[in-house]
Amino acid sequence: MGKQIVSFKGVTKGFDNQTVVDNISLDIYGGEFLTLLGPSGCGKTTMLRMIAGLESCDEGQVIINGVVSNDIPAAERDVNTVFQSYALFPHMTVLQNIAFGLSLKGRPEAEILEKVEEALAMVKLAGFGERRIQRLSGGQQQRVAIARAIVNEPLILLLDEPLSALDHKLRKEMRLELRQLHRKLGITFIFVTHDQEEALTMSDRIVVMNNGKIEQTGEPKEIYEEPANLFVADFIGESNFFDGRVTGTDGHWMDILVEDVAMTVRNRRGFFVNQDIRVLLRPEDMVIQRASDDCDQPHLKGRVEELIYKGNTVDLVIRLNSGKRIATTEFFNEDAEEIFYAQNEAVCISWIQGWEVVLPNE
Amino acid sequence: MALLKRSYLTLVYLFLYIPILVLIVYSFNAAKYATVWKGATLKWYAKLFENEMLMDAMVNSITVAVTSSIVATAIGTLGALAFYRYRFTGRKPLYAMVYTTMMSPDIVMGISLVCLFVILGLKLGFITLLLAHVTFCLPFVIVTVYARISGFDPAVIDAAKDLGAGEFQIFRHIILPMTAPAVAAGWLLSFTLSLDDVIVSFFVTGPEFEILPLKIYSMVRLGVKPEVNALCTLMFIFTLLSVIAAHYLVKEKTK
Ligand SMILES: Nc1ncnc2c1ncn2[C@@H]1O[C@H](COP(=O)(O)OP(=O)(O)OP(=O)(O)O)[C@@H](O)[C@H]1O
Ligand SMILES: [Mg+2]
Repeated sequence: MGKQIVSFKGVTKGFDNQTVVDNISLDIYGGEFLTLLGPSGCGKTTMLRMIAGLESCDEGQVIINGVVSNDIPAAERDVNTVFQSYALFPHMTVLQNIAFGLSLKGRPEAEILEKVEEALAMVKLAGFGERRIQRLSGGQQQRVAIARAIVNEPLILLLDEPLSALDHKLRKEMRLELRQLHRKLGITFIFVTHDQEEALTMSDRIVVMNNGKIEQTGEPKEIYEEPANLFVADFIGESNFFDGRVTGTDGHWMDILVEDVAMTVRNRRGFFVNQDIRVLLRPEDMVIQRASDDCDQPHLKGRVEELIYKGNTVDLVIRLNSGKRIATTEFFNEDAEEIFYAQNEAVCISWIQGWEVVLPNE
Repeated sequence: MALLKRSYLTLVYLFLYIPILVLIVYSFNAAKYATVWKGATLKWYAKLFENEMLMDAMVNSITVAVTSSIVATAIGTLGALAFYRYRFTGRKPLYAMVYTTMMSPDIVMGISLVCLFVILGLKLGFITLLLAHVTFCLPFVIVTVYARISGFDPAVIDAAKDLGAGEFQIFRHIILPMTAPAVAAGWLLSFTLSLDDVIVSFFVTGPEFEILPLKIYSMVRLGVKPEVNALCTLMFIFTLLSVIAAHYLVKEKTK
């Protein structure tokens, strides 16, 4: 990881008495692919705009490449943006759009043309220079928007939900292409999305935001497997939650009571006896056994309510005897038929000890 | 049903265009007073161009129309830009007031302007006429230009800033080219409005600066002269061409 290229130091920003970014401190490192992830309206775009210089902050500092940049106008920052709506100039050709930044800087014509060609090739649009913007598909416009930004060779590329307007298949392709582009250019990408799958598959690091605050920062695996709080757990991936209570602990392990069943789980956060907890389990971490097979470990009991065949997995919806519904995912393995259950079949539900995430239930 | 629809439209258009057609036809009529047809001639057009008073009035009219429309377009475009680019308190009511002046009766505007000019001690003539025409053209320009720029994606301006453009460069390379068709349309509209205004001009011009519509007005009080028919025909054709031009200007690039 390189040195810090962007640092937020206690940055606060509000619009009409409403705090949109609330005292955020964050370091972004040179060359990383960082994703700001969070629900709509949580302040992601505002964060990007403060880096771009399109929005000023009310308090705190935005430091870009070692320079406090609060008062540096957008035009003078070594940062370029791919806007959510693309924001291409409708009265210009593809070439004129991409050349705009360089010609403002007064670069010689020959150099501009060469760089534009290079950028067009980079986004796989070679030969499209003379097209009018209106005559491009959504995906092509998006590539032009990327080319128009990267042709200026910025230190940082900001991408505000650049894939949200594309159809599902194109979106998946573009994820890969953006990763490759990131590797080729070696610059910092700051990517905004509210799509958790996009964030998990593309990023080096994810910053999960909610209500103008950072909930958790970490690598995708960390965020997924060790969510710091209930918000993150709920927002990223599918989860089953069980409310419970600690009945005893030796510091490393603890006995808990969930759904009136005694279980033993890891105590990673110094939980104490009688504390209310919430156990979080991903559908793929659940272990399902037929009740007829004499389940051994401590387990919850339930019945299969729904079986959803998904090609590479079988998803079950199980109703516990307490009435609570949970979701599980079973992967096909050698003896495939083992994972097909009959409707209403009685099953035992447990999980691999240690894979659960236990959070305080506030 | 289709037949009914077509005949209905035909009636509407006959209603609209018969008077103009009659005027055009009579401008070629050899008879002087009569409403009878006495064969085709171009002599009224020749007579029109020999009529020095009318020609002088025409030159005056065109001078006023050209200058007032240019001034109104410049001020109005900047006004529309201000409404678009800046968020200030009272922006909405101010914009509504633009419509108010557009809708207010000519007679009100004429009388209020003449009062103002008299109070200011301005001599009625070219200058007062010019000021008056700029005044009533201005709202039309603001509305035409604003309608177009308010349709722009505001992120386009952010994108220009992001790519290194300053205020002037944004204006020169983004806003101006994108609004140019509406600016041209606003100018044409002002030009034609100025050219055929009677009521406001009647109040604010002086005796030594005669303009065409007023001249025609005073001429027809003594009966319609055939050369006036010829003049009106020319003006109609000119208007028609302007409307077509404006249509294409506004349509271009909105696709
Ligand atoms: N220019 C502005 N004026 C007033 N309020 C604003 C402005 N820009 C953003 N907001 C408000 O700030 C909050 C956060 O906006 P922001 O655009 O940063 O959200 P976001 O996380 O990007 O959401 P989305 O995923 O919907 O794009 C929203 O409640 C929004 O209404
Ligand atoms: Mg946003």
